[in-house]
Amino acid sequence: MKKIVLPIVGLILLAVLSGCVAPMDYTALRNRRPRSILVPPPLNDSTEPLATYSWLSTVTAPLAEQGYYVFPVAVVDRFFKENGLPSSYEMHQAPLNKIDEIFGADAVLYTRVKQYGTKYMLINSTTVVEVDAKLVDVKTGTTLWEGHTLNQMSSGDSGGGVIGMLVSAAVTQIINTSTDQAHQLCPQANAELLCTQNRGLLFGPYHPQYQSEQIP
Amino acid sequence: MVYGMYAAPDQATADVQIIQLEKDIQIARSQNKPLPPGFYAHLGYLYSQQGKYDLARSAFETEKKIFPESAVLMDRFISRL
Repeated sequence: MKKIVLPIVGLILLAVLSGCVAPMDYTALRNRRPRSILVPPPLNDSTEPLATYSWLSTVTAPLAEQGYYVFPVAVVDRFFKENGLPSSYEMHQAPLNKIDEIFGADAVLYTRVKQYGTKYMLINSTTVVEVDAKLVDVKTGTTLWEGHTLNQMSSGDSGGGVIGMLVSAAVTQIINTSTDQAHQLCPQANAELLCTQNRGLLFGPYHPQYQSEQIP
Repeated sequence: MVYGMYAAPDQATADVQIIQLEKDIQIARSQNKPLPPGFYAHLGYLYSQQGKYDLARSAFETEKKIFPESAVLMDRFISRL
């Protein structure tokens, strides 16, 4: 009997798990319609200390393009630090009623950089940027939206036979270290995270299609 | 530029940033394009660091005028000048 039950439980589990990839539920975001978003620096799980500000410096543009008021990230970061919150960990712990009182923000975008940087392999190197994000309503603490992005760029993409690949890997490794390829990947990763239709944020008040977009 | 503040702070001093931002204002005016949210707030912050409090105040006021969402924070900055 047990032998039959186990696979069935497994099948049910599989069905439940695959159900998680359902389309984004925009109900909370649509009901709240935040106008302004505060973005504290991300938590950084990667081994690259620069990831924090590399990511932070590229988050404003897509949010603004999407139609939201974004508080100036560098000024906000400095303001937090001057008021006794030295790192993004402390900033993420800041009580929402304080954020409401001090910044007057409608929502906070909490982000976590999970992977950032370039991995070197034998004849190839891959640059990876992976981020989790969560938009929280300041007044109620409700999660309005959640997103995840994993962006990769491989040096071997140019192709051209084995010798060609070797040269290309060597060249891009040099370029990687000098120009920080992961940082160049950030705008693309941020745009994908925040602006992709049916997965990113709804349009904000400064977007021409505010409140008239198609919602699944 | 913000990335530069952290990646190479010695090359992105308040002076350097202000020059860059003032240039952006000219470009935006000549092309009749809007400036992004937080732009004038950031500029005002830089002015205040340099002790140019009148310029800082007017930048914060401009941010507030263009983006009323920033009012709470801009008023806070203005009151601290």
